[in-house]
Amino acid sequence: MTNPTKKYLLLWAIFIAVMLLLPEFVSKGTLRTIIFANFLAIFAISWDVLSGRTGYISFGHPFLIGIGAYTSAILSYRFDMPIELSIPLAVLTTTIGGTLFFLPALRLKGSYFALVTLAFMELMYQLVQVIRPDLTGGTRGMSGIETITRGAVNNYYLSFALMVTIAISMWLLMRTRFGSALSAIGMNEESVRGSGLSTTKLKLAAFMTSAFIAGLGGAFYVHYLGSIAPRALFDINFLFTIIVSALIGGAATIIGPMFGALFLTILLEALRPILPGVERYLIYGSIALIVYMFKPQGLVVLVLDTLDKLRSIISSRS
Amino acid sequence: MPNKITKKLKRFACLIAVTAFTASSAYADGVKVGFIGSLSSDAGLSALRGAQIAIDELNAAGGFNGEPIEYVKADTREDVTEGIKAYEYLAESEEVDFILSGSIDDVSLGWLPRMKEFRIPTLDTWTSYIGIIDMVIEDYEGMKTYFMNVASDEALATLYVDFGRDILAKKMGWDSVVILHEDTAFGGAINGLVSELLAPESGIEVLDTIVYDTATVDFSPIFNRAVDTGADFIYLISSVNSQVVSSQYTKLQVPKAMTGVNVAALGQEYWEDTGGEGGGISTLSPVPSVGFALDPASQEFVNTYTAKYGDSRPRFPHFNGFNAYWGIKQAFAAAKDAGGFDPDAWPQEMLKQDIKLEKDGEIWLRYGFWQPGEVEERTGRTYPHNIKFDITPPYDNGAPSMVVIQWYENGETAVIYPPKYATGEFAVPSWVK
Amino acid sequence: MLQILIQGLLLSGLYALIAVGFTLIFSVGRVLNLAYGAYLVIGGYVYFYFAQSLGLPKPLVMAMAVVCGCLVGVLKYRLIVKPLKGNHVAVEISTLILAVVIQAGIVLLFKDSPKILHPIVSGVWRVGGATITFNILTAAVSSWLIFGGLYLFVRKTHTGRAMEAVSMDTKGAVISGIRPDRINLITWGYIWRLGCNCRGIFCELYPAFPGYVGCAVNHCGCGGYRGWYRFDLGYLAGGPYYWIHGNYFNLFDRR
Repeated sequence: MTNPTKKYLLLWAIFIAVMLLLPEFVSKGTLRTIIFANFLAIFAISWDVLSGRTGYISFGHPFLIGIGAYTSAILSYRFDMPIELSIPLAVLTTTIGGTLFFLPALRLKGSYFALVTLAFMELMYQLVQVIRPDLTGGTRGMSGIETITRGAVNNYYLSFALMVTIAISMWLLMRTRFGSALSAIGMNEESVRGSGLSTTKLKLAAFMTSAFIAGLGGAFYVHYLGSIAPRALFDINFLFTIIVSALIGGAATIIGPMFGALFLTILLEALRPILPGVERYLIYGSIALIVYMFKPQGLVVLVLDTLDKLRSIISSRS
Repeated sequence: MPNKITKKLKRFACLIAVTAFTASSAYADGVKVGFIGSLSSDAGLSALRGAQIAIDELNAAGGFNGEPIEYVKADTREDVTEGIKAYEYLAESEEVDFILSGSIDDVSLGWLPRMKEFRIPTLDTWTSYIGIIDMVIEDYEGMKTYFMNVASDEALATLYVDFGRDILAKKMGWDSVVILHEDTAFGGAINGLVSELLAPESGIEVLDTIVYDTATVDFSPIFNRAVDTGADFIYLISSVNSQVVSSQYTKLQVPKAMTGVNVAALGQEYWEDTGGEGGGISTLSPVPSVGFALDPASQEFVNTYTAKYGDSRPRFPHFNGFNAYWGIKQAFAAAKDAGGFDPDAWPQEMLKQDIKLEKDGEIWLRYGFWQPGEVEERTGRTYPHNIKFDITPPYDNGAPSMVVIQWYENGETAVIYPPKYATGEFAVPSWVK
Repeated sequence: MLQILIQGLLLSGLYALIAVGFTLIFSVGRVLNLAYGAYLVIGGYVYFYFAQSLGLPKPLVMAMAVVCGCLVGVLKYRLIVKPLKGNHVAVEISTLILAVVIQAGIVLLFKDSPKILHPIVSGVWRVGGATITFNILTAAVSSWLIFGGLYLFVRKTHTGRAMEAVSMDTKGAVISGIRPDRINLITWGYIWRLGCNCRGIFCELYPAFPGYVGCAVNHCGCGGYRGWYRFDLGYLAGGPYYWIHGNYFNLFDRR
């Protein structure tokens, strides 16, 4: 190919076409699984923009997603605000609120940043239950929140459209100088600073982008689920799936988190008929661990490597 | 030669027709029941197994419309999002006709929007959250496929008030209490109901209310504060990790009697989990509970259960195991009359179900439902689609909403209230003077 | 108030002991061990199963917990930490996945209800308005003894000094003939031992249940991320943390 961008655009087009035709070929049950995978992909992309690129591992993404989800849920459920208004407000709250919380934390490095963000998630879990339970619904949360649309097919298209829009926007954004600068921070923050760029501003921008996506995803997510409870969001298992999706797929890429999310969600659901009980999580976790240990760079790299090998075998034969 | 080919073709056509017929008839008549709940909790497994026994019995008697009933399970791991996924799996991958739930409060609330969307008849056997019954009242059309066959939590408070008046106030001569409740919606709700009714109806004054976090590992400061109030007894409200608080009560030898609601103590496994250090407390319990004298029909169910599952936890069904067993029987009786699990016809028939289990000639347990608009006299409110409980002594119109059970220090259990069901006496621990 | 003071005094040592285990790995390997909480829990379940369900003698079970802990710690180092050496994020994430796997394993074996562990030393002592169990007293004394031992180990033995050296400057340590690899292994094995020791000691205090895997991650996270050789600081952090934790109901009492 002469122009790599054209090639990628073609790949995107093929991917979108396949996904749009999917409801014709798979069952509604499978579509439901993919809806969850789409949302997980959004969260994983959001995590990756900040953590995958810059190397600042965030354990607090459920915190951001939770702000988005709870804000929109409270506004629409308690104050009868239309969804068209509550979702943008929720995204705004997440971006601003998240930034206020995370700003001091961004000064910390490496594992310290991870620890502080983990504390945010725990804090939010406690606060949601204690502060104004009349609004948040306390430990039981809220049930019967307005949904945007009904049925597996509609929700599939909605979640896919949202996910793919975010994915392509991020893909384009990461191809700019901003994206390269973020990856450069991940490799060596000192040298980026040395080259005269403000790493603080870059990190802040990365964080706000990440929070924006998390808020957007969280708000749509809660209007898909139709219910919300603190245990569903501020949970170490939820955090685990987000981070592992991004890393197992391939950090610092766009296709990686999407692929990882699909892999993990489908793996867990595919195990259900065979292992209905808790064995499912044991196997699922073990597979994730082995895959990750085998290729910490992610499945995308694994696939590319395999393709390269195949290509070289074919070329050597011919 | 051509003759041979036509023969073969005919045979083939016949085969296809037969296959198509059996396939379509299986689709039309075969009924699938889905279980939603945790496959690693005692409560979840009780419901799963109770329903399994009922389905086995129904299948042995010819199944439903001559077809065997299929049973599939979906684990929630007591996780809200997993609960939603599990409900979707049952509805859209397995396409079940009826769902039996052993879910806890927030998990049920999580999948309820899905139930409204799919309109699948669903029976809850564990959660007792009155808020769900309120949802049935507010949105009857949307919620009418929902049934709950455990008494909702509002009903339990009234029974406790009676226990307070008859035993704690009259017999023990106590007139003050300190309430110790966990920081959950359940804790808050029960506290509201009990403290509102206790003083005016049984003459027991609430001196203090202490709220504790469910992750508390050391209760000594909390118990000390409770003892310092000088109240006659402690009223505990605990649904999460309840083994912790009651075992520390025993270990610390807190010099005050403790009663109330302890969800862990509702199952026989409580003794094993606390390593035998959880005696001396009493708790409200839905029926049938540990220490409950059973009617012959329920006893037969327990015999089948212990013969089948006696060597793995829970060895004895929790209350919702009974609910699942009788609930499945009723759901299929209703489906028979309604011609299937139609979301409009089935609820009508389910509401008519009424199983009265008798012991020694009197009503002992009852599985019936409150009708829409039917007012319960004592609380003055309606409980549509909730189990028909009786909270007016002498409970001759049905099962009591709750009983009070006692765990003695030697690990034995008994029902101590109401008198009709009592098999033992209320006791304070030996270290309380 | 007296109760809170006494409890804080007695328990802060235990919390700090957990925190030290966590920080040991962090400072030597520069890696957050997110499965640390799971270690504590495993120790508890070993104790529950062998001492309480099977009725084996307590000292034997404590020793078993230590040996089994050491073994799993070393296994984990060999199978996970070492192959991923140099990739800190990969190690941290692997420990996170491991925590989830261990949690599922525990639920599979023991179901999800909490288990209450018997005190090693039973009995209660009432001073004024405060209640102190002999068990906590024993635990506090033991934790101080372990602290003392740890201090001597780090300061006086060759291995201890090597650990300290690796934690300060890995490259420098290599030049002076220390094999950081070996030190890491020792530390991971040691952590297990420490973790399980703690577990055994205040098993009564910590009801073992799977949820604590997540919980303990936070405990350790809040307790001490300072260098392990500054464990005095970790100790100070442990006190107030307990105070806040144990009195949560006071801060957020919303009657």
